[in-house]
Amino acid sequence: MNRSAKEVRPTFRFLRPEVLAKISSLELLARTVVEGFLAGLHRSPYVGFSTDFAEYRPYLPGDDLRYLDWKVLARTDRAYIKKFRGDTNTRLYLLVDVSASMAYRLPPAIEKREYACYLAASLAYLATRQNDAVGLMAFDRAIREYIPARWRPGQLHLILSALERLPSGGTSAIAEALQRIAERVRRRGMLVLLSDLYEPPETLGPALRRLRSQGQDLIVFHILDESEVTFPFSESARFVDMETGEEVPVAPEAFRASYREAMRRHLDEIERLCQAHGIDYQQLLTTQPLDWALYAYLGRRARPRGTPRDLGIAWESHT
Amino acid sequence: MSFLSPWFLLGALALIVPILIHLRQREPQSRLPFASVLLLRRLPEPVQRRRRVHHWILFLVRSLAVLALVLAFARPYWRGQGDGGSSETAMVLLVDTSFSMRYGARFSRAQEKAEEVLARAPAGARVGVVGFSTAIRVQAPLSSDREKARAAVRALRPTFRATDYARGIRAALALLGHSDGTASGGPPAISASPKGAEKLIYLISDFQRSEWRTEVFDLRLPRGVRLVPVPVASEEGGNRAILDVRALSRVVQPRYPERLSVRVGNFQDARMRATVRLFVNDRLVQEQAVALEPDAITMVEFTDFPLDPGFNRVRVELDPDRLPEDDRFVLVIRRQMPKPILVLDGSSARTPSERASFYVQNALLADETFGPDRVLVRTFAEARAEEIADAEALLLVDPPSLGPTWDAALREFVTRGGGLILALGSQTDVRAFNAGLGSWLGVRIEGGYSETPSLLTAIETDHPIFRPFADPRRANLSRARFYGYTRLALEPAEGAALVLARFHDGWPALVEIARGRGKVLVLAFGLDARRSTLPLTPLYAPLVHQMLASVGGAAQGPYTVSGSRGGSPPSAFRVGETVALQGAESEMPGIVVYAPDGERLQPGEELSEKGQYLTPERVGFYRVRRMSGDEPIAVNVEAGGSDVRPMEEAELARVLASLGGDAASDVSASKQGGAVLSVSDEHALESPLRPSDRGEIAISSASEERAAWRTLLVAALLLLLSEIVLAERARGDPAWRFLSGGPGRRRRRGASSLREVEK
Repeated sequence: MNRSAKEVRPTFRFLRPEVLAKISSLELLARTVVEGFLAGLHRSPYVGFSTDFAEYRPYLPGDDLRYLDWKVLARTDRAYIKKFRGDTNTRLYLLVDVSASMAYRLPPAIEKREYACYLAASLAYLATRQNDAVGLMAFDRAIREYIPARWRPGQLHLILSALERLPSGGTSAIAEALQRIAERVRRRGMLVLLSDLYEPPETLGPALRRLRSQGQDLIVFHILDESEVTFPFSESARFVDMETGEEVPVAPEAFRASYREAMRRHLDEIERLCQAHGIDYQQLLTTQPLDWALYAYLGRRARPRGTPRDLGIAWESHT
Repeated sequence: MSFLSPWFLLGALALIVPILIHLRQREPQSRLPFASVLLLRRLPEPVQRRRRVHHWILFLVRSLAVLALVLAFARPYWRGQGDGGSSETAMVLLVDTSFSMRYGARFSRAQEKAEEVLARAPAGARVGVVGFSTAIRVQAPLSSDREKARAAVRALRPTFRATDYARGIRAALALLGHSDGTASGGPPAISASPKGAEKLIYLISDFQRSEWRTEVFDLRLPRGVRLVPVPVASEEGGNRAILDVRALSRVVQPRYPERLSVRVGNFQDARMRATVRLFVNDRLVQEQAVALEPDAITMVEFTDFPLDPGFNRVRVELDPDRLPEDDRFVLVIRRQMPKPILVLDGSSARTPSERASFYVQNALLADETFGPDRVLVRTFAEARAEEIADAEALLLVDPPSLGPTWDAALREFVTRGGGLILALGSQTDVRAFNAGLGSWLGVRIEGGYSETPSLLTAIETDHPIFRPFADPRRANLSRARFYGYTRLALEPAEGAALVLARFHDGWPALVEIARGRGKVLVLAFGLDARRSTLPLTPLYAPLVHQMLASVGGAAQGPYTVSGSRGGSPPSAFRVGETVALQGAESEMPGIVVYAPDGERLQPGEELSEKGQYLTPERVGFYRVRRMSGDEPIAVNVEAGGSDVRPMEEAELARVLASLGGDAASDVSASKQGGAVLSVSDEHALESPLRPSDRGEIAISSASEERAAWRTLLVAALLLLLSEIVLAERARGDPAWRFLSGGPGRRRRRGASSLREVEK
């Protein structure tokens, strides 16, 4: 049975970022993560998730009724045919935000950028294992690194190498970058956005909408350092924006609650925005294990296009 | 409330420092990189809040602690309120201005102390300033005007007078509205001041040992009056001085005929050698080396030195020391050309030997100082007016009716300083005498001439005329027989008539009358041998000489008493002594007096309103300009001020204790040990909370008793302990965090999910 990735939480201690940080090779890291993840999946009693399942598509007269999802029909009066791996080859683009803000970390956590790289590497490995074409785009205000999605030997190595030497970015303009990405990526595929999304939701919306309108599957991994959410600082200081250099003096003890509230609102707005556009949205802290992200990817990867959710229909997990 | 150390109040400015530091610290200085200030920018509130003090309690505790420390060091005090009555304070700054205060820096120190007392006087206190010596000078009456009091202190000047503490204290009490209760008098006067009023007398003096006279011990301070001694004598060492010079004021010889005696005092513990020099008209005429024994008086004598005709300004000098004004003594010796003695004989005796003039002339010529040229014998008819005017003395024997011209001439002669001896006899015109000279002199001949035998009795042997005859074994005037005399009656309203001798029946025999600058002797008996045996006695000549010396003064024979004030003016005066500027009334307006520094005196302080009397306050030669010429008057330091050694503390304590009132409690409460008062007196105005440990008499006044510095120190300590407790709590509780200088705490819980973190 398929369960929502959000409901399955196996414990993979070796997927913890601070452990992975000790692995010097990104390829090894990616393999470790993925293989470990998959091994965990197989041992889990909650396995029911088929990695072969690919997607749904509306029933067309003449389709084999053995692949009709009767439960969906019973509930929705709509007929959908399951499609499995092998039926499709997804083109995966890893969109990695390399703006200056992604270099932020509060020790002992790792940088958001590192986290994004680990995740991107793991996803690239997983996708390659599934014979998907994987590409990479690193961006800040513009696209800094572009590797077209290919399914060929050496592509993973190419991706991982690129991830290991990602350029240090400047200021971010995510919406603008996504617009350019939208221009670059013509063919439909899956885009995994790894960013801290320090952008007003109202400017993100049009870019995301465009990508969705192009038929792209989007997964947004909103990567944040825990301190960006909890604002645990006690000492008054001048907080310096890592991208713009702007300084804002702050007395944290008097400000913390308000900041948290503002961050909560920001996260909610982005989540609502993503949901409204049928975009999978996952908030990740750099202290969290990577399995969460992998689950999210796989869940999205397995969900066919045109799912009720895509169509605005509430998705319900079922066994 | 006032402060003993007000400069410490500047420390209160330090309160600004923690406030500034706090506010500045709230201005974040450290820079912390953050991913994005996108959300920070959206929140305006924290930016304003950081500039406020958030922990008022802790801030107040710290501020109060600083303030308490500052006040404690500033040592506040306030006047005693007693039972809560009036807070009026009256103070008199009684400043010693005597001669000894000129020694070293005593007087400037006294002025400084007076100004210190003024500065510390409570607000609203009335302050008076009195300078005292043997004279009192109220420099400023009681007033709340501090500037006036300060100006009065600055205007004080040391004098050349001696010290009179009793007079000074009485003057201060009078200023406070009190009278002192003397030991022999009644109780002290009840003060009319408001209840609770504080009355202080700050006695600022060198407390000279030799100047405490017995009158002080008769003083009693009233209750409610506090005497606060402020000693200013810190100099060690003593003084030497010329205390006195005794000399003739008039001589006729070209060289001084007698001994000029100089008394030199050495008021210190060391034996010293000095040179005493004698100057006449600024010429050094003689000098003598002298050994001065410690704490002793030595006599030095000069003699046979030359004198110029007229007034000689004589000066005796010692080597100057720290008090030079008493190392010099000035006097005036007048060398006069001898004037003749004019004898006007009105007797009708046919033989010269029966005439009074015969006996008088021979009596005078017995003294070699009287040459034949000096005794002029004339009849009344022969006498010329100019001879009368030029005579030193007139001897009228048996004067007939003189007439108004003679009366006027004689009056003028006497008034101008001439001496007149009137020997009344049987030839004297009674009516003319009574109407003329007699009425002027206040003497009247009554009952004519008595031929009753008589003797001289009731002789005033203390008078200079009769002093040589005081011992009856050597000279007994009562042996002279008188067979006739004139009965004299004195007008009761007339003053200055002195009966120097009487006949056995009580009638005046010899009367001395002063008129103007001169003197008249009226003899009720003749000077010839017809009516008495006096001319035949060996006493006749000396008696005549004494009488002439008494009325004349300048010509002194062997029987005259030198330095007599009865006959001749003194050779020197002292500061404060009144000098009669005698002269004929017609002459008075023309007299001009100049001070030793050349200042022309105006009627006022030293010169009386009508210019009749001079009370000198300066030392040196004053100059009196008369129509007849200039006359110097020598003035010296008032006697008694040269021993500048201060009283010992124990001694002073006894003296002050004897004053009673609150003076005794001050001294007995504050004195320690028997150290001399001459120790450093910077602490004389110390707070009474810390009695001096150097034997000084610290000032104790009700206004300084209740200093609160100890209470403030305790309060500061308690506040600081509270601050420690409160600050510790503030460090543990973010809500209490204030003036945080420590590192911030950052929560790192390693949450596994964002929601878990957010919880």
